[in-house]
Amino acid sequence: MRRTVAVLVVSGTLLAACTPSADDRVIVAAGTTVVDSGLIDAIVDEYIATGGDGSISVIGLSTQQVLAYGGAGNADVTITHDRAALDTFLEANTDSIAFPLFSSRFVLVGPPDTSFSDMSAPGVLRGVAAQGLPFVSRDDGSGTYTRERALWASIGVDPRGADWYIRTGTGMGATLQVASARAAVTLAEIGVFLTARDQLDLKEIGEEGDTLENPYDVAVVAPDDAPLAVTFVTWLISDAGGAAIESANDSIFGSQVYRLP
Amino acid sequence: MGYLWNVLGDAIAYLTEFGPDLRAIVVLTLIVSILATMIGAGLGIPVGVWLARARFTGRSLLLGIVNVGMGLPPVLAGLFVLLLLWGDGPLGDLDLLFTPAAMVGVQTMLALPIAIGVTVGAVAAMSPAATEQIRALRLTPWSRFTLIVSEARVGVIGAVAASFGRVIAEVGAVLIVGGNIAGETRVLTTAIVQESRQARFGAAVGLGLILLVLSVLVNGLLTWLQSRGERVV
Repeated sequence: MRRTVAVLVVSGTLLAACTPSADDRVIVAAGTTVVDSGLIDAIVDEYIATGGDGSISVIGLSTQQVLAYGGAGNADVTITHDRAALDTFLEANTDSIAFPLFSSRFVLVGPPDTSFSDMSAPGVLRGVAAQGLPFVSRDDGSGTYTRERALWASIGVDPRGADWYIRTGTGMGATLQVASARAAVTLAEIGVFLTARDQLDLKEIGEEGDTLENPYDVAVVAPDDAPLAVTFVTWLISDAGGAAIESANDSIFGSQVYRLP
Repeated sequence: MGYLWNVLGDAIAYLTEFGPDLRAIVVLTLIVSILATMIGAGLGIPVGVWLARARFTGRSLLLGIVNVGMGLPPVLAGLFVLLLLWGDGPLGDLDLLFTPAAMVGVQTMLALPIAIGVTVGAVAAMSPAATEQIRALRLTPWSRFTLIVSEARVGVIGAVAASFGRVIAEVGAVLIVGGNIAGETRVLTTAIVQESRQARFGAAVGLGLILLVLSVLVNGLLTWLQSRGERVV
């Protein structure tokens, strides 16, 4: 009995030692696209290494859930890539402040032999719909899915319900795997695609264009209640933060995939 | 507390709109779970009976492997099957990745060690007198097997229940090899992950309630069979 108590006390102490106190913990909720590749972690490591205050915990969620977490007070900082959703969030949370962080792009990817007469993004989607080629959709609350819906709307096609329209409801990586296995076209965030490309039977199809820009924004949910979150975001959008973003890009992708605004 | 009641209200609203999408999820969950349990228990119970009574070198090693398998992390099984079925993998040509068949395969892998392990325990726990009697009787292997299963039926039904319980609650492995594709490979657990990822808690809880009801129904049936088995003894 005495031994059990001792074990419990020791493990409780260890657990407490590993858990930062609520006061100096900053919870950063970010889109899975930039968390899964390790980008945000690399930037946070640089912040801590250069003497940044507090303990930064990063969690990866869909953009919709990131904002839901922020709105419920579960996260101090949000990083999202859906301007319209962020604007709605800022209207509901008037204390919150947001800044442009960096920008990547979306790519349409598909089987290597995919070819259409019009290779612009709308042209590719028109071709997919006309030929009934399989198309894999995230079909979740992600910024990528919002953009995909906007692209379909721009050409006046509603693919939902079509038998060639495959809905996964999972993350970007799993969706790319399904697209590769089904020889299907999908809209991918470039960073995730570059990370997974070697394992996939997919290539970039279509031309780059303004409609595929993918800007990310960072927001402090409650600046008055979370001074350490303000400090972190102030650093993030400073020159020092910009340099950290550039070097994280270099070490992970070997090029500037997430470009500064 | 008010917040939780609201979520529960949303869940009930979600359930009242029971449509073809939700029906497909429930039906696939039942098919995959029942098939995997039937294959897992169908192979596992005979192996378990044999392993409980046979004496040979390497038996403890085999028992050890079964015990490790009972605690096999599902995501590892999922990863293993994913690599097997991957385009360039050994079974890539079968084109089974992201299909219900792949899900049944990985679920069977998870159910089999549990069916074996629990059966070994049930047979080993039979009274020495019964074991002695069965040994003395001149029986064909098949009638000996059915006699043992019928003597140890309470434990053997437990093996089926434990296998089913593991399979229907599983999420990591079926998400990896199934891909949660709407109308094709989406089951209750993977749909719950999807809904909670999007903060649609009403739908997530609604799906959870269905999962709970299915689990209670199937386990209730098995428990009823067990208690009938006890009475006959």
